Amino acid sequence: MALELKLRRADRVYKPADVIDGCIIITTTSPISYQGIKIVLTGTATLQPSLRSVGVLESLYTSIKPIQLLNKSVQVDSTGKFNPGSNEIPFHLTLDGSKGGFGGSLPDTYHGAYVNIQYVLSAEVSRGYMLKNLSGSVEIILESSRGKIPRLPGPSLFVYFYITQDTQKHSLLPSIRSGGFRVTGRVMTHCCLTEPVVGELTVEHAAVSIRSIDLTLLRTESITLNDRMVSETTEVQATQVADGDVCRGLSLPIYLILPRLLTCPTLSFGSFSLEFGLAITITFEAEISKFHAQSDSTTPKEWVINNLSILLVMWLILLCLNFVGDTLR
Amino acid sequence: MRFRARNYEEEEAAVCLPRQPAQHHPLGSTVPPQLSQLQYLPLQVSTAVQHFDEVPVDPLRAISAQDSLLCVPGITVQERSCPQSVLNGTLDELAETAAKDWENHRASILRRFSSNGTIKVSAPLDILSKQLKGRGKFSASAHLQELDEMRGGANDDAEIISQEEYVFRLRELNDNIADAWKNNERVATLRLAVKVAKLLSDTSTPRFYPTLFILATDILETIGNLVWRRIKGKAELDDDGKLIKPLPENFTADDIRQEAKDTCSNWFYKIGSIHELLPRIYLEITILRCLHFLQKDPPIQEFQRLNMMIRGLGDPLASAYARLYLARKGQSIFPRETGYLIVGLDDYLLLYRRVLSGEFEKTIAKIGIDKKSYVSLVEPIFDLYLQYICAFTNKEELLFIMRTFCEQQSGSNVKEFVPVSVLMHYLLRQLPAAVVSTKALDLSRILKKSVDISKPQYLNYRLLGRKLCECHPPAELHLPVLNDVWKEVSKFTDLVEYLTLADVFVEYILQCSSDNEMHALLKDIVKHLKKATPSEEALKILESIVVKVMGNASDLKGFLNMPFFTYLLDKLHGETKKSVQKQILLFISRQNQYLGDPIERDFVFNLSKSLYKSLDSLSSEDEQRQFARLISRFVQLVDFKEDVEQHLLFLVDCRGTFTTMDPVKEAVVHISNRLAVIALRVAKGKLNQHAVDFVKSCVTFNEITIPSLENVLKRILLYIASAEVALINGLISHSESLLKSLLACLQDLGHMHDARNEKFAVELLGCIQKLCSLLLLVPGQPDLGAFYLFRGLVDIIDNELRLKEPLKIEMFLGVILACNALSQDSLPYHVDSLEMISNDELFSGEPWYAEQLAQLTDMVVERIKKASIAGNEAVMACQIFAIAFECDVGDDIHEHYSTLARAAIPLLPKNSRILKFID
Repeated sequence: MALELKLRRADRVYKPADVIDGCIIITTTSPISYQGIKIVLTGTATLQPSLRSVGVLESLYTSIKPIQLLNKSVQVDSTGKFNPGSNEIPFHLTLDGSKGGFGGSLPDTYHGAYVNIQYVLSAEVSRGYMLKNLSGSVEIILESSRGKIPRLPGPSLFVYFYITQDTQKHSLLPSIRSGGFRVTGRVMTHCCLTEPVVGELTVEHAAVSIRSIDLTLLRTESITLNDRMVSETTEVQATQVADGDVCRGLSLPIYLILPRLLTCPTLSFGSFSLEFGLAITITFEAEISKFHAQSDSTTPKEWVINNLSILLVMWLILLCLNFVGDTLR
Repeated sequence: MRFRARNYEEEEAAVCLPRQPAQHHPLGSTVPPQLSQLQYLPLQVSTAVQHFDEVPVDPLRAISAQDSLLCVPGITVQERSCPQSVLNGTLDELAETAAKDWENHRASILRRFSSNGTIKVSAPLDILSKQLKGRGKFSASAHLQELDEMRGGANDDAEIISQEEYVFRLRELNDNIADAWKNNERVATLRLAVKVAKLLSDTSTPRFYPTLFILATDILETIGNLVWRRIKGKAELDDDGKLIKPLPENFTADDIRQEAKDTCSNWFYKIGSIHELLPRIYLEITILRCLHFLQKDPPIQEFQRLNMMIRGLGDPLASAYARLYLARKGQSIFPRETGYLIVGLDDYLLLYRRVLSGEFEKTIAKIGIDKKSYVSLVEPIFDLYLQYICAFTNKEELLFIMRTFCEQQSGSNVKEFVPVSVLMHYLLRQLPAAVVSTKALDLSRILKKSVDISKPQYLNYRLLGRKLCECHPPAELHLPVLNDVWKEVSKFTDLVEYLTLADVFVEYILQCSSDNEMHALLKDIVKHLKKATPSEEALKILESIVVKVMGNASDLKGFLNMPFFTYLLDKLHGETKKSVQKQILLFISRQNQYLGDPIERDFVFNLSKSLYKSLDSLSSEDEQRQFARLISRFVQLVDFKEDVEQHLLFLVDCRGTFTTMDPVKEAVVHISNRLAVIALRVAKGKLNQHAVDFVKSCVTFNEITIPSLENVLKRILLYIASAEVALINGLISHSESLLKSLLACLQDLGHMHDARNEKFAVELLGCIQKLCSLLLLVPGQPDLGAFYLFRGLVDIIDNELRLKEPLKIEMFLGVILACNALSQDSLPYHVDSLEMISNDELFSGEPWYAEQLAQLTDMVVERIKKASIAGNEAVMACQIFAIAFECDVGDDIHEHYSTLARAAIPLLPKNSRILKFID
């Protein structure tokens, strides 16, 4: 006896107010009678503070209760009997957040490092007294409506940045500091999830040759824990923009496609909040001089991140821009 | 027997065809045709369309313009059929055309850059899987370590493998990909595809890079096709695999169902998340065609974005070939779009100039290649880009392109703008000749400046010259362009380069300029030749220059006067000298004019002598024949006007110099015959001793010369000719001695020739027949008998010559006809000379004459009787007997005749008169 949930939509992506329809497929060798078939849709946000922020011991006994976002159930059938073979029971329910109790719309499905927002559709066949119930579940992906934001023409939505040897807080190799470099660009910090993050980056001048320029998408998950806010910034995805010593003065495009389940609109609930940022890393080809002699393995210098955070808007992603300059073997 | 009497005039009149005088020439025309009726435009081969308005006038057609049936209908111009029609065609057709086009380029790249070397393969070949998922903790150290590894920092565990091994591994990769796809492991396929693309970021063996590029992009193309087919399949089949509806030929994004669109978008998302830039670019280009499923408009924006992304590749080799791939893809999607190409090329030029100016010296040195070869590795980019850019442009657009690339851009910060040489080269190649010629002066100024190692400057000038020859610049620019170019060219130090350009521009001068420029150019060439000794290659080019100049010269004197030639002939040696001399002789024979000038004559004589001396046992037969022909032609063209004695001396010289050349000797003999006849004509009527002596010396000369020829048949013919001349001049004894030598010659022939050589035998037959007709004229000797020569001939034919019977019979039959002629009262022809008297006048009426003739004839007839004749010979014998003899029943020849007739019955037509003679 097996129960399987099959949804009409192959990619299992739904918007709020969509109708989720599918069927429950029960395969059995012998006839089974049942007393009720129920479909339950639950949404939960699980928060897990990182080891770094709370310490090992504390993490063992401090656990934050998962927040329930949605709980909706629909009775599909009352009593009946399954015939041997494969039986299909269709069902449908509307996805709305009226039971969420948060007053706002449901947050999107998000699988993060410390925060997890998940929506699960489960089916349960109650067999009656003393008999084991059949159940099965499938995760659905909730994506709020991806309308296009009205773009105003002109650069007003762009954020301009510049990186030079003076903007760095950590120490640089003398060759880089003396030669200097300047990288400028702009990024569209307001964008919606279905569209890529766009912008431009220009190496105006660099005395030392560049090895690579990478863009890193960062997420900052903040959890309220014992009346304090604990934040963790982790990397989602890294994309290379320049490989090798590029020509000076040519603008390279920034075109970052956002990964699906790993990003969601910037949001802040009462107990947790999610933000996203973009880090630009420039790696130089620099010889380490004798005074800073090291072994041939690389020893990276310390990283310092400058935060320049910019405004967040509902259901949009917003990027903070971080500057990172780096020296390397 | 009795000879039949013949009336030659009557016979001639009887066999003549009826004739009528013609009113006017049958091929003449009444009205000249209108050229417009005959316009036909040829198929064009160059990239731009050019209409030709001139018609090469065909003489036969020009006459029959009246007759509409013969008029050539106008053929319409066919433009480059493939792009025009295909542009409106479907994506598939475009892709196919582009694929075919790409095949040529691909083959040429593989051919040009094939190398056999070893390649260092570093471990990162196997690192892959991490790239596609999101990274975990954002950690600086991990990130940097990864960067290091991927850059090939792990030099220690790099293996060195050969090129074949590398190709083999690539093939394995290809097979793995095919297997993975078959098993629906699409993620694995993508992973392997990224692996393949990553190979292209390794430029440490630059010589192998082009081959690697071709192989890797082949694999990527296969994957692209697989993805395309999958998405198309998704659009046509529903989830269970049943066919919903096949997509039409020209489907658009609207026809695609959502599931397929989702799958397509997923592919793009997956590829968008690849970390490294180069694989991401390559894979996005690979599946770019699938955007057709998602959007209606052509993906121009995506191309522009990819173009800009490629700017992020800092390695010149990787960047160039990535652009190449982009262009190739663009050609298969929208061939007419050139915006991104121009921008891309412009961007690449920035990087390229940095290479040229020496920024990448260290990197290039590290990978073990010299700068020139490195720079030449990226030539295909310029070639392809300019070809695609200039393919569909009209004149204004071409001028715009020229301005973009050749002139200083207003915003650029380059101090001295110098166009890159290789760019100019391929641009020149693509520009149609018409544009080049209008902008010739500007182009030559640009070429002057663009000197760098990417392409030798002389190649550019050569292209310019060739295009100018194809299409002449406007009249006022002829000289300035030439002067401008030549100022630069004369500074060249390398002789081969200089001469190559001299060759091209000689042609230009011949077409556009006058003799003054030609002289100046030749002087300049001489100046350069004085500075350095020419190599083999240079000599060959010199030869071609000589041929061109000679082709244009009107007479020998003209170019002999040029100091160029005398200098050149001094300087040259070996094969080239022979060639040039041969060219001069060819020129003379082509001119076909008599050489009267003694200086020229001496010059050419010495030339011929040197050519003759250069022949040795190793020269090919062909060469020997050719030289012999040329020299004999020269000898024939020499003209001494009236000075026949000098001419004879010249002939003696020739004979002495060209001892082994038969054609020359033949020519010499003929000429001396001609001289003898001229002498006769000059001294018409009054035959003074002087003339007679001269003619005697001519004949003697012939007598001495002829035996030295090798070919026996030629000898025979020459003897006959000389004997004729001797007879004309009344030198009987000379002619007799000639004929006796001829008979001796025939006698010798008998011993040596091969009876089986058919051709020779037939030719010999012809000679003998000719001899018979000559012998008619020779007067007989009283003591030897009137027909001693005939008798000798018959003797030789009978005994000495080893020929097949039928041929001998034919020869005898010839003799019989001659006998018949001799029996007439007057011979059919006489020698036109006052002193010559032939047998008919000498001996007519003498009784012994007829007796001797009868004896001779009997001898021959007996001989014929002895032979058994059948077939054609029998018919011929019957006919000749009928002509020659009275064959009535009472004659004694009748019996013999009927035997022959009976033998001939099978071949005779039914109503033949001969049959009447048979009982």
